[in-house]
Amino acid sequence: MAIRRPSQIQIACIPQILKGRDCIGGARTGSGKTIAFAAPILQKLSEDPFGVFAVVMTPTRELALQISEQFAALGASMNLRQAVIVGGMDMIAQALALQKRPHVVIATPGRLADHIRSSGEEAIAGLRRVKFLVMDEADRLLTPGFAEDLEECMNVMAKAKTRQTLLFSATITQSVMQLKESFRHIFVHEVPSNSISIPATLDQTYLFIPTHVREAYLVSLLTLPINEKKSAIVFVNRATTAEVLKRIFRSMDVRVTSLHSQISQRERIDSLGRFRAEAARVLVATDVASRGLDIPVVQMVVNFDIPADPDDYIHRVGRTARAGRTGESIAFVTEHDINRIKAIEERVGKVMTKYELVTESMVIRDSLQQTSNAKREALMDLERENSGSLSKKRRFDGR
Amino acid sequence: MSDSRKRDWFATEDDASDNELHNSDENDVRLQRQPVVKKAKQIADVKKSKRRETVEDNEEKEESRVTTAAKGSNKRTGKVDSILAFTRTDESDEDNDDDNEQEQSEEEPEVEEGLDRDGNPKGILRQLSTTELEDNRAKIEKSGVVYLSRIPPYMKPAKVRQILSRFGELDRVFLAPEDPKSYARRVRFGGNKKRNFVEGWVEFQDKKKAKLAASTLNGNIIGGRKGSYYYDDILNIKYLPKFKWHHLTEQIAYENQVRQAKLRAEISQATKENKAFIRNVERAKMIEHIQEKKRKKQAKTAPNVKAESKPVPNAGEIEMRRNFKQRSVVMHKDKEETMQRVLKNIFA
Repeated sequence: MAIRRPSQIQIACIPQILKGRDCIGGARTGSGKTIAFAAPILQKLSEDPFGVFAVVMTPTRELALQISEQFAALGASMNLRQAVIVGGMDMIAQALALQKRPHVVIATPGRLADHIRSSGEEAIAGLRRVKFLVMDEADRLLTPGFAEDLEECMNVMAKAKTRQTLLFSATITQSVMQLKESFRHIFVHEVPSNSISIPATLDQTYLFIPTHVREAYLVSLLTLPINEKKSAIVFVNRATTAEVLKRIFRSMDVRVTSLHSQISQRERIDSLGRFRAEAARVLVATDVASRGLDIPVVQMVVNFDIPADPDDYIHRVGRTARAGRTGESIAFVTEHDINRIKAIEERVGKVMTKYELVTESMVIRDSLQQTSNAKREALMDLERENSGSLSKKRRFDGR
Repeated sequence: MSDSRKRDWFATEDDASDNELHNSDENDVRLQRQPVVKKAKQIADVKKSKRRETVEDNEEKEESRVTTAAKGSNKRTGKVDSILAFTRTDESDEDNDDDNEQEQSEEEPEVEEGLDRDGNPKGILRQLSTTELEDNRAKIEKSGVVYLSRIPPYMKPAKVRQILSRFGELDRVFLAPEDPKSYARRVRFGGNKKRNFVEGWVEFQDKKKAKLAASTLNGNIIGGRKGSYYYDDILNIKYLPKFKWHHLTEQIAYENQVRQAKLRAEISQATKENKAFIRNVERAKMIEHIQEKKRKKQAKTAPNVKAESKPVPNAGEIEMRRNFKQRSVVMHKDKEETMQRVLKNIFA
């Protein structure tokens, strides 16, 4: 790890955390938020190493794994013990790991709550004395979807008086910001103005196209000679769309992999690994991959569907242009997305420019027919494999 | 079960890598349990009449080709005969699928004359003579199929063939491989890496021999040399009365045909949509061009007005507006009671 100079949020937050203050940290994507809480936690831990010292909560499993890697890298010299408690993995092994009282527990709320309910006192006893509770991507965690599980976890953990609580995200919502008013002791590092949550090195563009030819445009875009070598993440809103796109790309001989909730955890980890190692050039993902994941090679983010929440857009495009690198994002705006794109532009504080390199005639000539055939075939195959339904129980056959 | 995996597996087993397998495991199992009568019902089940037409079309086509076939054969036999009646064909899907089905059975010996299987795709069709046809029909009439409801662990088709050929000459053997998922699971937990088969069908050239084999072997140990691997294993074997090999392949062929027809329809629909898109694009270009010209003309006639940046669209220009339903923007989701509690407790 070569970190020579602390980033802004690290300069601001680390001393305050070391002083023992609670903290809300907002900084743009890719600006080193993870280190901003990991470093002081490890510092404090080395003063008095014991049981479960810190709990880090994240909204997605992959993010938890990534944070654990970073903790491992930073804490290698002090024999840091840690446990990752996320869904989709063996629960008994996790319970045993918790019993051994690791220094740091990195968890997703659902699985941790599950352990609290069912793994017995021995496993969760350590959690009662935690000194640090970190919520990464706090604005996502503090939404109703996670509320019940979070409450269950927090009931077990040490009271807020005896622990430090750190909230981090690139987009801090109003409801979280209001906490500042009621609790004066909190240190807040804010994003100065609303335009800042997007890195300056990111080039944001859009393509205004009809819904039914989006796939063809996407294929044309990613097979352009200048884009042919770039690694790209394509964000979609649904798991089915991700699967269909994956199949389309596969039939076009583009090295592709997908990440969404409808494949098993093993496959999720595998496909992310493949993309990290550049064995796959294109990652088709849902919002599972939109937050926190740090993949340096990503040069391009395509929003195949426009997210309903402008904050999600910020996190999605934040997968590229990280830590001072350049990157580009392309939003596919269809006739139905005008309101959404307006809302995004307002939130980001920047008007996107038109992406000029893909033209209609190019799409018609190169990819239109081929893609639509591939799409129909993919849809038919999917229908046959899953009898049309795509519930949680019927997962994709991993291929 | 995934086609590609199965394909791989068969490719390694019989070295028939150029053959595609369309059917899946489920099909194999289904066809065993599906009486032939049901087929008619299935055809009726196909919702779009279009598809049905294509299927029937094919059947008719085939029937018309069997010009030399003997009279009095019903539709089905006519169809099967037509498959057997040509030395090599790649025209209809039906024939292909039959070939594939045969490939699944391991190391085929002499096949019927009609079915040359080593794939020169654009072979010339040679009509068989009447006598040859008659011979073929008699052959089929005489053949019998037995069903093995379980295959002893890891027994390969060659061994099955060896055991059964004691009773008479065999034709085709098909063993359905196990589910690749269960195979993967077994291998992952350190189990046997050999392939398992779950059930099988064997065709005897003579149905008398088939009956004899079934009645002799059913429920009995395989025997042989005392120390041999399968000595104590029991075979469960049944003669299938009035059942021919083509009954097995028919179902798969039919399903494939339906699938192909559906795909064709889908693709033609896609092509239509694409054409509409192309037309619209061209039209937009044309209109843009006309407007551009007009603007230039206006600028020429009244150079003073040029300063005004955007000309108002004239009455003659097409001013089309369509309203599309806009997707909603969801800002931060509404707060609930639990959420409020969490937020309150988070720092105090």
